[in-house]
Amino acid sequence: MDRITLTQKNRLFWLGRYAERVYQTTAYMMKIYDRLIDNIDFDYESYCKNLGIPCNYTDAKDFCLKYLFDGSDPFSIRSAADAMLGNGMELRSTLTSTTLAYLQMASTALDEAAASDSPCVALQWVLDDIMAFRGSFDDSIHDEGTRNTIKAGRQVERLSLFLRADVNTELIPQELKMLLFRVDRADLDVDRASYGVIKGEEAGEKHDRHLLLGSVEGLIRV
Amino acid sequence: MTRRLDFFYDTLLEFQTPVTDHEFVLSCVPPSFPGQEIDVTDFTVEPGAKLSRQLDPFGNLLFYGCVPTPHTSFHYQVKGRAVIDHSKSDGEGLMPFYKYQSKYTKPSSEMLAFLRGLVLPSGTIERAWALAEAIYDYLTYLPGSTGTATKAEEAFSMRQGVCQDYAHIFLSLAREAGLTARYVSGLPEGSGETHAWCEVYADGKWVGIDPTRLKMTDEGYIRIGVGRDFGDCPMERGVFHGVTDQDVKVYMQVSEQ
Amino acid sequence: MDDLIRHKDQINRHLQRYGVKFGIYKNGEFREQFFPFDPIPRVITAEEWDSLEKGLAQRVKALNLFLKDIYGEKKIINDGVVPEEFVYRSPGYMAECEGIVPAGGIYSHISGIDLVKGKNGTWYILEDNLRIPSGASYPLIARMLCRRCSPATFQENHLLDNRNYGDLLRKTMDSVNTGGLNVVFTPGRYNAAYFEHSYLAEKAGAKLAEPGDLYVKDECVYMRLAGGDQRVGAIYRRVSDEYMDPVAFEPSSLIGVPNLMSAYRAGNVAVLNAFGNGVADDKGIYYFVPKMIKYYLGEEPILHNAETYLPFYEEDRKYVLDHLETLVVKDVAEAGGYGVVFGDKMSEEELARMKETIQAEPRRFIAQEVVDFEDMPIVMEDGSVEEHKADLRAFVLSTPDDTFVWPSGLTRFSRTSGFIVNSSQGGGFKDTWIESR
Repeated sequence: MDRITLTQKNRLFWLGRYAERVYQTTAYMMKIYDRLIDNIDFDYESYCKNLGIPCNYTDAKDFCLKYLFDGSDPFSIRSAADAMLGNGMELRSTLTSTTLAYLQMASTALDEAAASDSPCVALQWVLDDIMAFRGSFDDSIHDEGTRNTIKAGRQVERLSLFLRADVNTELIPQELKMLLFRVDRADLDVDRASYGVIKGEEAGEKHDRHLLLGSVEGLIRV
Repeated sequence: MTRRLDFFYDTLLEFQTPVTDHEFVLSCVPPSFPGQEIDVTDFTVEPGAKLSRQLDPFGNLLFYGCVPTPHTSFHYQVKGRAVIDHSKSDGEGLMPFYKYQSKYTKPSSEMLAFLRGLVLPSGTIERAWALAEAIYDYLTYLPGSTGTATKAEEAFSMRQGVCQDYAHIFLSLAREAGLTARYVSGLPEGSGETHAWCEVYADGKWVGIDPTRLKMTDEGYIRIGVGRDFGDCPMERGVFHGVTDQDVKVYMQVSEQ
Repeated sequence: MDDLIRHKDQINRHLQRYGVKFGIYKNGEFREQFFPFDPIPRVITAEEWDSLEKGLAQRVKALNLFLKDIYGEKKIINDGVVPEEFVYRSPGYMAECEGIVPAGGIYSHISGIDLVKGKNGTWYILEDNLRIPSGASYPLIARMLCRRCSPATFQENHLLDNRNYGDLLRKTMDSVNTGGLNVVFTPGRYNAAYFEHSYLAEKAGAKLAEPGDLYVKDECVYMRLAGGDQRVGAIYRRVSDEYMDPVAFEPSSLIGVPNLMSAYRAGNVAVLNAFGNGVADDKGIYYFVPKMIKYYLGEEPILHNAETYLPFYEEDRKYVLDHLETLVVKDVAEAGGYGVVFGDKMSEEELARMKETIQAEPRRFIAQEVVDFEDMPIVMEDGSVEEHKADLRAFVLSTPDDTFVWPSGLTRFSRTSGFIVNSSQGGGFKDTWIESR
């Protein structure tokens, strides 16, 4: 990877994280919307607690609206989408305008969802556009370092969300394996102690969940 | 009259907490030109840095460099011999912009009124001298009353300042009165602080005038920097990483060989 | 063209897709908004373009020669064509640049010349922008998208292709590159024209550098890159002179490259556009450009200035004071549509005050006859068409061997009534078509 600046490399990693955060949390919120149709209660307070974000919402409906669309809330999906697009914009020459356009479209789709009384239609576009972004990225970026950096970001975010929310436990070993695969090839600044914990967990050792989460979050020093 | 002088100039910058990536340019070495011959016997910068040498359009010697590693002091020293002979002076470095006001010298309406109240002779040198006298009478020399960023109009309204302010006010009024004049920084005979004075272009050559001491400069003055005002020729400029208070100690000495 | 109007929403959707934005600061807060695009293009005939192209190239050649002369021999001053106070009192003049001859002797590599077309069909030069003119990216991307939305329009109309701007920019940078990377230097994402910086870097195949990415060592510029730093040969900077080097100019600038001036003075890096160009696009110097063309090129100016008076000259001052209510007065120190006042909009009291100011500081102002420039149709939100004032920014690229006028340009329109057209004061843009025959 001899073609990008160190700041850009840092942004690539964060772009990977934010795109994954927007994707995973949006998909999750679509499920919650569906449950709310049948008046099935949603324990948003536990959700916030698990994710480690402040819970300043009056009820489930208030949570859904603000967590998705409130740009003034730094923990909202809207803010994550802004960070995703912001990092992307600063990587235009690496990503190309063609690929960057999908991030812009995902961001615009989130605005459209906010303005709609059936937000899930446009939320689906958010997912579609992020998927299209990944496809376009995969198809046009050949530099291994660039590819592995953004994907390492994606893996860190995905594992972090899974571990925090305690979901998809069965997928964790394979996601850890993918993370190590990317990190080994990305020429990133790696914290050796965290690396050791993840390597052990992947090989079958059982670590405390908090230690594992801390190791995933602290693995790459950026 | 030719004079042979030894000079020594020393500046120590001290930072309370370490700074890094210190990019600097030094303009602290007197250049040679008609009327001033300089032989630098010693020039050191601590911490050591590779220096690149350039000449700026005003005729100042610049030394560029960078200290990337953490340091709490920055120290430079120049030592050498000078031969000063005003009979060899000419109009070197004359540029048309010296006729015009610059960043530090823009006159206030108060200054313009002051100028209108003076009766000025027509000869260049006589006019310059009359201005210097008027300024000398009007201002009080008071160390610490102004800073390096003080402009002529600010010092004028306070009626006090140091050599830099006297020079800026002189330049402002001189230019307004139709003279071509420039700022000079350097080392006068004696010891202590560095000094600033002015030069006026008259009959094809630069003539030095020191409004702070109210005298025409003699062959005891060694020029380091020239420019439209202080902004063109500070002896040291730099930027660094780090938040810190800094303390500057300057010492210079000029004596007969 | 009706087809284009029919596809207006599609075009705008596409522009959004590519994030064609323009940033503004309002109440101290940075906001990005989509730059409104009007589908009705400005059309310039082949014949009309022929004279515009020649006239613009001629003008920019003369301006480059002027800059070289001012920072060098100063013949035009010594020969009494331009009074020296207009040079040395100009806020754009930089004494630090005296004696520096940039690679190939070119100062203004990318020039943005603003013109308007009078109702009488004549084009007038409004102002020259020789520092960091922006705007080329907008028509560049708009053309690509319009072709996509309405192919029939572009089959029926025969136009000069404008999609080569990236290549032109690259060639311009290559022509002065001192050996090393081509870099577009941006102050960052919160700059009004960030879209443009990043888009042009991509199209020109240059690296986008942000504050902190560049540094100077031993009078050479390097870029910090993963895998090893690389020498930089040309910097297309989108940052004003005074912020470019905190050591040489503005010490409080956090975005500049410390000691860049040392590399520039040593001739080890090309800076596009050169430092100190502000002396040639000063509103006061504008008056002298036709004289420059005669002086340096021995040619008659092909394009006209708006009729301009310099209160500095007694005769002009008298005229200006007598006719102030019909003139437009511009403060030479202000840019971007600021410091412009129309005599017919001033009260008696304001007129009297302005007259006093002009008498006290004649050098500070120019006065011009108001050019009654043509209105252009704009499609409004509801689909109706309204007429509004529009100007044209033409882009001229200069290399040591050639001066090239980009066959397109940024047509900007105001959405309120009035004569000032500037994207930093609201408004939108149109594509500019140059017919090939």
